[in-house]
Amino acid sequence: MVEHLDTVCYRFKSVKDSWTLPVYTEQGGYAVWKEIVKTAPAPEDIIEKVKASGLRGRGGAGFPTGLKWSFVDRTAAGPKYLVCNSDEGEPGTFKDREILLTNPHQLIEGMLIAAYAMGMNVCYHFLRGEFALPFQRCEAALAEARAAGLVGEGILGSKLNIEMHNILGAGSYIVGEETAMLEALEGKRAYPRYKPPFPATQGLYGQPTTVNNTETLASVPMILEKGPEWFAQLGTAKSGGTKMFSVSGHVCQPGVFEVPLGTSFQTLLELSGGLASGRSCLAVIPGGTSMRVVPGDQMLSAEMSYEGMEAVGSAIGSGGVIVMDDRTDLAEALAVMMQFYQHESCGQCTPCREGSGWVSTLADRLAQGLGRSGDVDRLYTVAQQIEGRTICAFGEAISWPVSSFIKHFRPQLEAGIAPANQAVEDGQ
Amino acid sequence: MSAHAISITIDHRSIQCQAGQLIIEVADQAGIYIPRFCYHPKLTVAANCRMCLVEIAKSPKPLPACATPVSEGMCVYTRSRMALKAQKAVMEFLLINHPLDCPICDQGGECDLQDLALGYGMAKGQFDEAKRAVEDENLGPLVSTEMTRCIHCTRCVRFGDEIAGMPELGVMSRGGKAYIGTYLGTELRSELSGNVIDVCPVGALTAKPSRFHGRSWSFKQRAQVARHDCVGSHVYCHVQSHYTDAAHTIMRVLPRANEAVNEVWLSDRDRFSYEGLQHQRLTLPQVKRAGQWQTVSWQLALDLITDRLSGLVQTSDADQIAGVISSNATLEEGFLFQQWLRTLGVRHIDCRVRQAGDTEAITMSACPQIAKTLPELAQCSGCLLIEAFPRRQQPMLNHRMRQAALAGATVMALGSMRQDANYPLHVDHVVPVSTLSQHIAALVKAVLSLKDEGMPAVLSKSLASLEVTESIQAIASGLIGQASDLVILIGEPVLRHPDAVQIVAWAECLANLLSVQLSFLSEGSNTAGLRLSGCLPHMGPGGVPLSEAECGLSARASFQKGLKAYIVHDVMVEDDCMGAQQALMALKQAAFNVYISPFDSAHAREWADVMLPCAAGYETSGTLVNCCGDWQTTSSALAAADEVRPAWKIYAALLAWQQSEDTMQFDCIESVTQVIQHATQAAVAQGLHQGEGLVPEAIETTEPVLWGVAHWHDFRVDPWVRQAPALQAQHDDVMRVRCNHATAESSQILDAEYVQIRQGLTVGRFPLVLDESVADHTVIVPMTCAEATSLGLVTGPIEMEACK
Repeated sequence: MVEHLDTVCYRFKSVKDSWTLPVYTEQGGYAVWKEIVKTAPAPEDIIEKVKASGLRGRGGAGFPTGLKWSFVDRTAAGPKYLVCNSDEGEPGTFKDREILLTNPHQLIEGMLIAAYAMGMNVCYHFLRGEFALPFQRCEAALAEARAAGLVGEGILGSKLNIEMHNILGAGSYIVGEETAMLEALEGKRAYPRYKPPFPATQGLYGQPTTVNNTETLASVPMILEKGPEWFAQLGTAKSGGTKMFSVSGHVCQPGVFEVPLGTSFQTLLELSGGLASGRSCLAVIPGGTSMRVVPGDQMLSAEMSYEGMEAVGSAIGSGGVIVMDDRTDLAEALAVMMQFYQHESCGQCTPCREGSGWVSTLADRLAQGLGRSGDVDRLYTVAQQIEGRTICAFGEAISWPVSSFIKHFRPQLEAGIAPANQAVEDGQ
Repeated sequence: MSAHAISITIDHRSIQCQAGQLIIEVADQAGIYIPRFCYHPKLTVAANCRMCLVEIAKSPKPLPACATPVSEGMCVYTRSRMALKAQKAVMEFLLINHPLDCPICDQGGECDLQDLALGYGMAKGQFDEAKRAVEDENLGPLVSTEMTRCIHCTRCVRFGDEIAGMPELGVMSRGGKAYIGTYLGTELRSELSGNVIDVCPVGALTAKPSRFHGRSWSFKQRAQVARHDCVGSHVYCHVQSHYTDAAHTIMRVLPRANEAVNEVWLSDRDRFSYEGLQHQRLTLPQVKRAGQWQTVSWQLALDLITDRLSGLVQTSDADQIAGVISSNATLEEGFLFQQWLRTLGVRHIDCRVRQAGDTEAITMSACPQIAKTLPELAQCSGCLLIEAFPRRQQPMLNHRMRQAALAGATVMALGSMRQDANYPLHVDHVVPVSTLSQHIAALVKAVLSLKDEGMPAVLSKSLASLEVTESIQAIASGLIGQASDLVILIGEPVLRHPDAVQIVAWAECLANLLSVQLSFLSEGSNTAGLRLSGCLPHMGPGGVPLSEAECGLSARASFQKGLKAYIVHDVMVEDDCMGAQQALMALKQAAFNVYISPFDSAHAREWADVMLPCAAGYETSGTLVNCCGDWQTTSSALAAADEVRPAWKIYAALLAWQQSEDTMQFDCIESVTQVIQHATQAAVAQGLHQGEGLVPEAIETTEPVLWGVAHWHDFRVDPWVRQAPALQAQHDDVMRVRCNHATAESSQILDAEYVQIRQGLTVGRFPLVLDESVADHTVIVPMTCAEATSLGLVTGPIEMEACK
């Protein structure tokens, strides 16, 4: 059995009605927030604690959270905004949904603490358009918190004002990109912005803004309650704390598991019921489809941490672990992923708008066994031409899977070149 | 960001620049070209085409030069391996879905994509799939679409949002399916819509009227100044140069960049009016003999004019002759016109054909100019528009107003119609047109009471009984506290108002209280210039006031009186005159009339005895003075057809004839310009342009009366634009009478489809449309149609009833 399983964000997994205020309070919830409101600690101290905990952004990029918070100029004139990113759209990822369903108050508490630490008075909680039930739970939780005086004007009788709004998105992948989310919040098309300027200086409505992932913010109350050292020690030296992994694919019991960082992939695989009998692990995408694929044998000896995944040439990303056993048609898997990206490209900048469709066409053709001579190389070149030249990281999201699939599984893809076409090449 | 000088290197060249500038700006200034599609210096940065990716030392990825600000010591490489690789990759992506059929594209030869593909494209691409096809949308008669060619740079979208203030185009759908469209399937309605053609870097948006009419490389480009409003936008006329049969045709008109005037933009009217020059032209000198028109030689025609006019002067006197000239004539045409006539002894010379009352007093005291330059106007802190509607009538000036308003200026309006503004207005107060002067006087009263200064006794008596409404109070408080940056803009409809003198007098009083100078918009393209050339009954060359004995009658007064001879230059009396019916009657009873114009007219054929074809707008050299007082001199863009002569030459010849000289005094146009220049400088030196202030009369609140307003739609302002087919197709609902619901109710015409307007003895029937932007007791009557001619409306009281 894994130690410290489901201890931070997913701790109320099996608690009845855990999404209601009475249950959350009974479990010790909002104690940290009440203490902060009562004692008004220096905000810098909170940021220091978050830094010391080793908490990194759980949305995919893994940027150190405390450092991000410290970028906001607390003295800047005008409003400052906190945005919680619950637009969980990365294929293979479904862990934030569990937080929203089972633990919305912890997220609200985390947002309040973050807002306090950065001197923000307005929080926007942006949920993906498909999250109907999570949205209802968050709305109900927010209403409860507001009624209890935890959110809003004059919090708990103090002079503190922090307003909070839940916003339901309209359904697009790219709105999960933080600056696209800001555009959407402003009522515009969800087009990622060119950076710099970064949101910390010019974010929502041109004001200082911090965008954090749901899991990141929901981890904060526990960090402050049990101390940053406790949190840091759960994980490895370089990756503090726990991480929620949503395991899907060819496992017997797919699901969400919150494990300490540094847990071995083997353990995670066991938690999710393991592979079907007689099957071997062919490939794993460890952090949502935007991350590079890793061959199964390398994964089986890897540990689930930022540095552990880097060692196998990928990244922990959003924690969406997709397991593929030896039955998988990898060319088709890649084609399905590329169909997703060409469908979700916002169309703003040239390489992604034009390249995503092209890549998808090539991948489709290979998957159907209709590939033409040189298609695999072409697929690689086109993907490389997108990477690093787009406004947002979507370019990498297309390119990384393609290049890693080709790197590790070239023969499987070349098998998609139609024999007729192959003959032309061989016949020279 | 503070602007301090820093030093960067681009392609190993050290360059001084300001911190915060964008790399592409710095490179442009240094003459280093970085390829681009979406970047446009007048629009916000989108950084979406990625063509301007450059390498920057220490950056692992290439960065867009259009969006990356420079910083001290930055090393930029625009043609390094990394940069070129990125640029070529982007070019390949742009070309995969773009049709590679430049020979059948209207943009071919002047296409950014075509040009850059030459440098960054590959001879053969890797793309071997089916290309995307996009459905075209009908954007109206001006802009043609071929959306398959679109490269999604969004310049047109940003133009609509940021410059036109009318987001008509947008990006629909996403990814590879993204396309530019209106979504609603509407036609473009912005007065600046043609500019999307210029900003489009490819052949997706092209000019419908000139599409496939010629190739850019076969055009000759001539600098000219647009002729339809007092801004005088700078344009290029593109003239077909290869084919002799097209030598007299302007193929298209494009903006000529000038930061002080039109920046890089052009109004649709100025852009597409050139088409009108091809229609209904007078091409040969003709005289009427026994009711029949006969083509004659110039010699004969000029002889006849000289003989008949000299005869008339001898038998009766020169006061039986009047000269009427269009406000679009050039400075030189105007000068020679009046010089010829005044040499003949004629005193009645006028360029104001759309007046309801006498406005000599105003033109005496004020130059028709705005008190600021256009760039200054864009930075003003406040503006009051008095019966001024620049959005449609002076679009490029409105563009500056919009810039000012978006930068936070308080813009307010007082007039007989709501503003059709593309920016937020602080107050937009609509008052019955008959009560305009009393509302301005009320504004004076409100400002005086707010200023906390004792009201001067004279004014206090004049204003005693005047009521100050809440809106007037709001305008007054908006005006108070504005620094000298305030602009009070009098629209050209004010001079068509019967109370023009009192309106301006009270506005002047208001301006004095606020220590600002009044600004005037004027009709046509050269009202200011014609004042300086002496085409007013009370002013001579240089704008020098004439003695009482030298003063003549205004155009309208001369038509009212019914003289024996009229010389009419480029005025289509039936459409262009206030009180056209009376003017036509005067012309018909006269013994001898001369019509000199580029355009034929059925009415002129009835009343004229001699018709002389003169060169139109762009075909003639000359000077126009715009609303900022800038003298804008240009050379003719093309030669007019064989027998057509520039008007200045016609008048120079007539003048020489009159003076019985063998050699012409004015044998080149520069010599004419110089004479006016000297006269003007002398007048300015003597302070003759200052004039005396107007005296506002006592005024009291009166009940509004039902008035008709003679209205010239922006595409119907002069004969030239009225002949332009594309512009006329753009607006098909111009010939309706407009009034609001309340006015319609009180006139019992609510359900009427057609109404009859009666003024005095004349009537006209018009279709009616209810328009809530019109003030109470005010009826907007469209000019320039047969019914309007038979009504011959003069802005003022009317009767209106439903047509059975």
